Amino acid sequence: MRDGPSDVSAALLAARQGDEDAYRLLYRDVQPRLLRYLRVLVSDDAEDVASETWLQIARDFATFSGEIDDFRGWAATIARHRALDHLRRQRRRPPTGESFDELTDLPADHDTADAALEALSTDAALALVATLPPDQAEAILLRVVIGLDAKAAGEVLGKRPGAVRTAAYRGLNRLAERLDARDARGSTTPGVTKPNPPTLREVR
Amino acid sequence: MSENRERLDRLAAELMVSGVWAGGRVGSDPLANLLAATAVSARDGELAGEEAAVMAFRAAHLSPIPELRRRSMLKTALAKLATAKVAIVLLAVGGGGVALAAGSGNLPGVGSPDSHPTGRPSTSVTASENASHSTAAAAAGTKSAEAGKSHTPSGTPSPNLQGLCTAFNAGAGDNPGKALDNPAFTVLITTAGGKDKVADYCKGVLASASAAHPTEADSHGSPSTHPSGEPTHPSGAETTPSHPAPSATHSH
Repeated sequence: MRDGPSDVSAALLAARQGDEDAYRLLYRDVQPRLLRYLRVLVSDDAEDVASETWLQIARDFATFSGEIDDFRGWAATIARHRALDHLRRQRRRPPTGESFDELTDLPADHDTADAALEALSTDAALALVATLPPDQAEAILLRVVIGLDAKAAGEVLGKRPGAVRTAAYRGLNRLAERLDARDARGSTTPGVTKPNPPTLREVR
Repeated sequence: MSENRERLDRLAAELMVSGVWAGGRVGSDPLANLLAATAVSARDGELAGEEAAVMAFRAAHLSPIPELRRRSMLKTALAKLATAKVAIVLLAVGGGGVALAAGSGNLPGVGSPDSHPTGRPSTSVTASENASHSTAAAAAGTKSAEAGKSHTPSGTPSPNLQGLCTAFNAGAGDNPGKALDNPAFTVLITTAGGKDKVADYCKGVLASASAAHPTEADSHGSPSTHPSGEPTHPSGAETTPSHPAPSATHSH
């Protein structure tokens, strides 16, 4: 996922000429991002929604124009719509409320940052992000995971860039508080985990 | 950083969300580490849908741009095809049709499969490809159209129904009807005889495929159980025009 932008940009160009191998490269770049974003939106149904998303991407690919960043934003928009459709269909609460206490491998000490980074699984990190209010979680994921700038993330969410920055800012502070609380666990610090974080659907 | 984390200011937050992806401050701060953990390289299992995605791309990409003209062509061709012996198409399911098409040598676009690189929009069959993945829906439509016009059913190549079924199963999720709105599946829907019959039809196709005897498709009862001979093909006609841009139907 950290390929140089030129590689994926070239792949996007080639894919638009019909190059399947280039399209594979696009998939390999974008799919993990979509899947992690969707994990927070629809939890265990992320794979299914991602499949629907890719069918639509393939269907509408000829209508897309833009650079690789635009493509990621476009794909994220499709994924988000499919996720919202999915939630409407399911009419149930996505089970995103994994307790912070379960994230036992979060880093406890800055000195062990390397080991902690290794220990902090992607799933655990996503689960922690998923405990945020949905607008904050989405803002962070679109920026960090999908890799969009504030303007592009705002376009996905139908918000102004400033609103995205604010949501990300608040979300990061909340995450920082929870990491602090986790570091302090064992002392008298009360938990800050909200047992039932609001879901995307509830907010909308 | 530790003392400041509870009051991360806006600039720091902006730097963090925009910088982590490029490598940023990973290792120096738990929050940055957490964000970096969300953005690591692809892990096992995350790319499981790759083949289905590429199949959908192949099918969709081979649809030519002037879609309206193409759709009417396709509909006409399918109607003609329906009056011919659709069973012959089904006979060819599973790879036999590809060999048939390549061998016949008189179908425009597939006369010299070796000379066409994979992914060229004008060709769908390459000799180097595995037969079970070599034909896509739209291209099959083209060839079917030509075959239908000249009434040479013996030269009618099969769409890669097996591949389409694989893609359909992978993408259907809990709402197969929705997945079938994808024009890539038009040929599949038409062949199956309707959207509601695709699931059962694919069950049969994939079962035939797993039997590893493509030419035995008829022995599985496929032709007789699929009323592809309906002259009107309502489902194919209805589904293709009804896909407005997603943003229009799901604006929030």
